[in-house]
Amino acid sequence: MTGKGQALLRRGSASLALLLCLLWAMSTWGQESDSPQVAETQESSSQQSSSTAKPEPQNQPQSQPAAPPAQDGVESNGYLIKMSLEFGGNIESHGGSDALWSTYVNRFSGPRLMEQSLDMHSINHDGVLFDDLSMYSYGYGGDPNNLTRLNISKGRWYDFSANFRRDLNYFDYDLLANPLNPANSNPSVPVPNSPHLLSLVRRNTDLHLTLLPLSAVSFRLGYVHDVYEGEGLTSLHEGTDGSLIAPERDTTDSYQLGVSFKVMPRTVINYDQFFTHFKGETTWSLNGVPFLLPNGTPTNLGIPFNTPASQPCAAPFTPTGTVAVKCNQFTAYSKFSPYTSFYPTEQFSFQSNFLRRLDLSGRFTYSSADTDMPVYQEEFKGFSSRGTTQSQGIGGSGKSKRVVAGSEFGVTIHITDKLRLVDSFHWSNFRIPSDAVFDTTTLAAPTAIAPPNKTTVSSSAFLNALKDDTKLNTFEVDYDFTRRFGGHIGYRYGHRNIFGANSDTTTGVTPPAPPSVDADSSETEINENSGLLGLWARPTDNWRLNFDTEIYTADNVFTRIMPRNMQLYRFRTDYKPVSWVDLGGSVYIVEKRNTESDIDNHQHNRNYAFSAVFTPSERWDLEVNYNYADIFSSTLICFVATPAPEFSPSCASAYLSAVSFYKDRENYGGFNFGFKPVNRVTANVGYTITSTAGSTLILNPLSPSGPLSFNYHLPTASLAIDLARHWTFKSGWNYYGYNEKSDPGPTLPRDFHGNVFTLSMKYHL
Amino acid sequence: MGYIGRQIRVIGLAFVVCSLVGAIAAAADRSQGEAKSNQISSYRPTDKALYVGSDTCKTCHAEEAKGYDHGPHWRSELVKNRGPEWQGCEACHGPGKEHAESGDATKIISFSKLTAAQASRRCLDCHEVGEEHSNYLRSQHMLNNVSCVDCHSVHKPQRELKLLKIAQPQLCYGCHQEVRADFVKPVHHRVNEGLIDCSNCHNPHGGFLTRQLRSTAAQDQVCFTCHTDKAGPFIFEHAPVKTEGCIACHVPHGSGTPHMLRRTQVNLLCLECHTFTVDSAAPAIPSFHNQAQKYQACTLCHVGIHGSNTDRFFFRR
Repeated sequence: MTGKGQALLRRGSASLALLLCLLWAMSTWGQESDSPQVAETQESSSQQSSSTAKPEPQNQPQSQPAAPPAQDGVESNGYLIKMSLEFGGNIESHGGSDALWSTYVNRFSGPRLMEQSLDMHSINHDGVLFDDLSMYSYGYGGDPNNLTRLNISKGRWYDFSANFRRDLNYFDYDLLANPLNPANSNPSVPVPNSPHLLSLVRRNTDLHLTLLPLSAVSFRLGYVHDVYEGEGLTSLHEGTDGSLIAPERDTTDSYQLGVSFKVMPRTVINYDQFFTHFKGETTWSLNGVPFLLPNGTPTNLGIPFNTPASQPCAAPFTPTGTVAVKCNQFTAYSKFSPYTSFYPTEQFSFQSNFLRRLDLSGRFTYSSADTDMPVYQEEFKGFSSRGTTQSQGIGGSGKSKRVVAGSEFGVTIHITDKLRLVDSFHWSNFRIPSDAVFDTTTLAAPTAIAPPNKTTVSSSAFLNALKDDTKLNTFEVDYDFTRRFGGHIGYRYGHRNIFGANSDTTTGVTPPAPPSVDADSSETEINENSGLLGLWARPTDNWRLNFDTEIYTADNVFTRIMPRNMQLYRFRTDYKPVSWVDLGGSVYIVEKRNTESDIDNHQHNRNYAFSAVFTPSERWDLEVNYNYADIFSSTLICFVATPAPEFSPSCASAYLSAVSFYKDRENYGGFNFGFKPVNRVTANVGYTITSTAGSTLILNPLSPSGPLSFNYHLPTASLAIDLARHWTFKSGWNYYGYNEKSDPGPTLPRDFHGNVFTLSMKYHL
Repeated sequence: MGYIGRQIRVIGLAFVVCSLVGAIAAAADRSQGEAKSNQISSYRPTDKALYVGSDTCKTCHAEEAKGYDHGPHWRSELVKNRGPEWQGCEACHGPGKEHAESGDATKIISFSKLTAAQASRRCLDCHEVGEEHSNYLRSQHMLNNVSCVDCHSVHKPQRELKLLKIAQPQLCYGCHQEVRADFVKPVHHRVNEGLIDCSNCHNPHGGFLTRQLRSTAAQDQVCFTCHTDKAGPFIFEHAPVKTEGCIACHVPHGSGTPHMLRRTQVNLLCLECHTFTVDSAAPAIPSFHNQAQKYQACTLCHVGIHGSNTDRFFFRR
């Protein structure tokens, strides 16, 4: 069977299974519709079935006060059954950027399964196959996100859970990977869309089964199937940057076998074996050949058109309209390099609080992954002026490993009921050795159409290694001064050793040449120390306050943007002065520094948030949220620019220095007001806005700051009317307004605005 | 006042405020009387005469019994090979005979009277299977006085599956208010949409990693659970992806920037590491990367920046 056939079969099977489940649920209800319905009450349209996760409307600030389990449903064959089925559709219209609407919103018109839920509970816990079953689905029919969740359990025999998630990921943010071709190029060829456009879908199936969950020995079985596939564009740098078509298909299958032994009270030992298999089958080929060489050969000049910078060359076209033969160009390109990765992992873990004053837990893992790329074939034809390359073929193979050993251990000693000593230790060691051999055949010629005048064959052998050894130990003293006030103070020590090495040995075959070796290695050792302090208080049962801080220092870093000093402060509070008011607030501050003279990195993220929820009656409720974030970073950088900007002093020979700064201030506000004027009618209106304003270093005026400053408006409204027993009419409106406050740059504007109306009918038991 | 001075002032102020609040809380607590030690112990008496069984409890606590019967905890009564201290209502609330006979609320364990550690230890006595809960007593939640019953409601859950007080992510936003705004930004993980939960990436029950992050089965970053194509191992690794993690370049929750990058201009993101320095292993950009002429995103050419099997400079994936 072909891949398409298999995919069709899988989709068909999934659809059939869903349909059968829905029909079965409907038929079960239908059989009992004439029976006494002892537990039935009319469900309010605002109520949600309580046993399944419900997604929030995409842009709606929500507050759902805790509600008791719904007592609706029907009894049938010993089960209490609750279900809902909501069908409807979207009516969508938008203006502005189609690309960004699809990237950020991606909602369009069409019929939808808005929601489906089914809950079955064995009233006397004597179900034949299961005691509890819950299933929930939404989004089928064209929404970008679809979900089905299924949970089944039967007494002491098994727990089963299954998830199916589909996520449509369309990406066309036109500034990303855009060459930003200047207007003074001849010809001037603006690139309206991102050269790295993606239209991919991820389908993830996740199954877990626990057998004998209450027994002294229980077993776990798991299977995850993840497929990520679709169409995509990418680019290849070979003289110029050629646009490539890259149909993506990545498949991952993961299996789990596990067993738990309850060896004595409050003590369990677990062993798990995981097998993960990844298969990457993406291929690459040239995205069109729109131009002609003088000899009639179709060709592609790539994406960048910046003739003052000789991209793809100073004069791409001849007076007759054909492509200049010495210009960088692609006439053909293909790449084929499928690979597989296999990760077997063993894991041993335990937990014990058998001793009254001692809690222990630990985990030990070993994983050895292999990546195998048995065949690598690449062929380029065209012209690359740098090496006067007319064609190049690369063939070879390679493999890599990732060996991970880790152990984690935690202990809590209860000195008294109020005083605890807590220690957690984490050790992880991975190494990734790899090797590859690539043979390259290059034909050189003075032009794209001249006969080749030089053939070069070389063989390159690569040996790479990356190692990381990380140890982290956290010791804390945790003390409850009273039941309402406590704190902890501690110290964390970390040690990291990171080693990287690579070697490229290239040997000339034609013409023969001795091996030339390009190798380097580096080792970084980092000692980290942190002081930890936390305090918590519960002045009343309805008021909680938490504060904690970490003061971190390190004697070295692996990358320049990692801090040598860091301070973290978190404060959170939640207060319910009366049962219908819930007030919350948080302060989250991170300050990072690396004050080495050649880096001078300063970063902070200061975030302040509060929320207020009012639910004075069943007739109305109100939720208000606000968040302010101040994000800042500055780092010394060195770069090359000719001509040099006025502000830049020299950094080193040919290099200029500047402070790369990034300032972003974000305001978020939202409210949601729900009201229920009469029992049959439920309405909601809400609005959120995210407004950002910022500035950053601009190295070139043609490079716009893009999304650094924008407004994103998301008003929403909904209305639900209980038309009859079990039947509810629902309608909704979402508005999406995105507006960048900066110049769009040499590409299409990205602003958009649009409306999505939803109309649906819900049947619920 | 310098930077250090300001930070000391902030810490000092926070400490004073929290201490004052704590002192008030302590005073209030003393006035209410602390729980008796025989109530707070996780020790389970094995004398069968102290226990009355769940049916007795249900005669008075009918409302709680509904939640108990509808939820998963009734299954504790199926474990017949263990004593009554592991079964039914008394598995959580302790022996009930004295309480049943006297009606005295102080003669039974009430979770609202326990400290977070005491309450959680009672839950963990049973919830021990697998590694999910294995490090809860050392988790950030526990150290900040967040116990099992702060998120779970055994008797009146809004979401019966997992007995959550309210469904994610609203449950998490209740305390972690600073992340709420991230998930309505233009680019975000589909948490509000219900496609993934906070608990898919974070282990609310602890775990051993900072930020209570989960990891993949192969003990790699949790991001690779879904973004499998970035996991490798690759023949040519971009080292920070594996050593510092995805968050070196991406923000994890939501952002206004495409691909949730930390900078709106990719070339600045790259230059901040790839610059001449004595303090980093990252090589500086070569002199022919002229920003006056090639100012576009570095990833236009370096397309395989997460790691490549075919190109040491990441020109190919």
